Amino acid sequence: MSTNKFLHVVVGLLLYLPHAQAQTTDGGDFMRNIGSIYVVVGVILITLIGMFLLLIRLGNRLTKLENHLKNKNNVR
Amino acid sequence: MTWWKYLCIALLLYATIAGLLIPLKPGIQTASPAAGVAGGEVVMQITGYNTFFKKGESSLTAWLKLDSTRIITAKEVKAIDDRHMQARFELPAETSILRPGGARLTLITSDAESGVGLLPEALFVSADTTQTASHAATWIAPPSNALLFKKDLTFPYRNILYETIRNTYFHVPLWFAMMVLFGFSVVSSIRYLSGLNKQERYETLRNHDLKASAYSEIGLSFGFLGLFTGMLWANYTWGTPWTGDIKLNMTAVLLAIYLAYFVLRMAFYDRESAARLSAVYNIFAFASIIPLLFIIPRMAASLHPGNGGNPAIGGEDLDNTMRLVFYPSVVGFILLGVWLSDIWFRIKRLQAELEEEV
Repeated sequence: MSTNKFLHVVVGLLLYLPHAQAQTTDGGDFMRNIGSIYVVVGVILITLIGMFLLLIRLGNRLTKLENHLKNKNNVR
Repeated sequence: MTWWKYLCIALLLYATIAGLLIPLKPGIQTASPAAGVAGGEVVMQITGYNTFFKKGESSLTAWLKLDSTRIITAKEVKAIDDRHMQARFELPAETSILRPGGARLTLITSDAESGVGLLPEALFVSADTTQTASHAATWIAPPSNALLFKKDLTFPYRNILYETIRNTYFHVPLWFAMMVLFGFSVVSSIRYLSGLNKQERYETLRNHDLKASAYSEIGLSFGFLGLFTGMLWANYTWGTPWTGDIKLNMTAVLLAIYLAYFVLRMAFYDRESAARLSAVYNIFAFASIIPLLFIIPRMAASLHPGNGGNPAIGGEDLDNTMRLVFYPSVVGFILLGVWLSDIWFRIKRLQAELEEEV
């Protein structure tokens, strides 16, 4: 649980690192404001990575349950 | 965690990042005025997208193209800033080559910093016989190597689509994954039926049946996701979420067929009869994919890419730069579908085992 939160914080911080880009960033020019798209990418990445972590946890819980059931049956 | 799950995560993260961050090629957003008269003059105000007109002002040129052998070069061009420019054209007085009523000319801009921009049918030229030509401009043949293409990693710019071209990396792979998952489902159904024949153990048969159901469920979910993403995309590019054309209707029919598969499964008290009948139905449902999604739509014209006789993937709907992100995304979504189906199947199996314990 705590590793989960830590990873989320790290990913969140990494997203604000400056990136070198070929295009200039015009402050007032909404169309080519690269900063905004980085925020979008960050949001989507957090969602995706969060869902992957959930899937992994789900898989692990299932394995535990399956093993528990198998052991119960083998003991009998 | 198996290797392919790591691969799935890597591919989908790559597809998201590259799909969203690689910029579009420069293009022309708008150009006005939209109409001119043969023999007259027109000063076009041009707005670009991802362009660097001011930076590339020294090599900036603009043309209006009638067809592959006839163009006119702008008499003067001026870059107002990186995204706005102005071009003055003198339209030739020859009206004989214009189609009766007039012709639509394509606007092309080129400079060393932005590359080449194109706006189809930017200017409508009509033949006005009342005007006498104030200049002696004529159509010329396009000079070779005049277009300064830039070689970098960018996605194609298409008017109307603009940034939504990136949806290709998510909308299309959902459908690919759906078809692969339906394929796995029908394989499980066939194994179930052949296992019945060979009188395999109860657990093996039950697992085949549960797998068929799990793959179908996740496949159907991906299908609905593809449908909803497509409807959202269509709403802002075609003007309506459902155009009623044949490909969309046949896709909806296919999803209804697979929904009926689940209705069929639920209709029986006896799990074995449910499994048997739904396995047979699954085979027919899968067989219907080919005519519904591939044969009938290609016989009719449609706004949706890939129809009217042209295949979408090998044809003009994908660029080589797009393929770099598209194919990994397809594989990533297929792996994601298999991962989800695996989890779904394990949950169903656990449920079945717990029920049988009682």
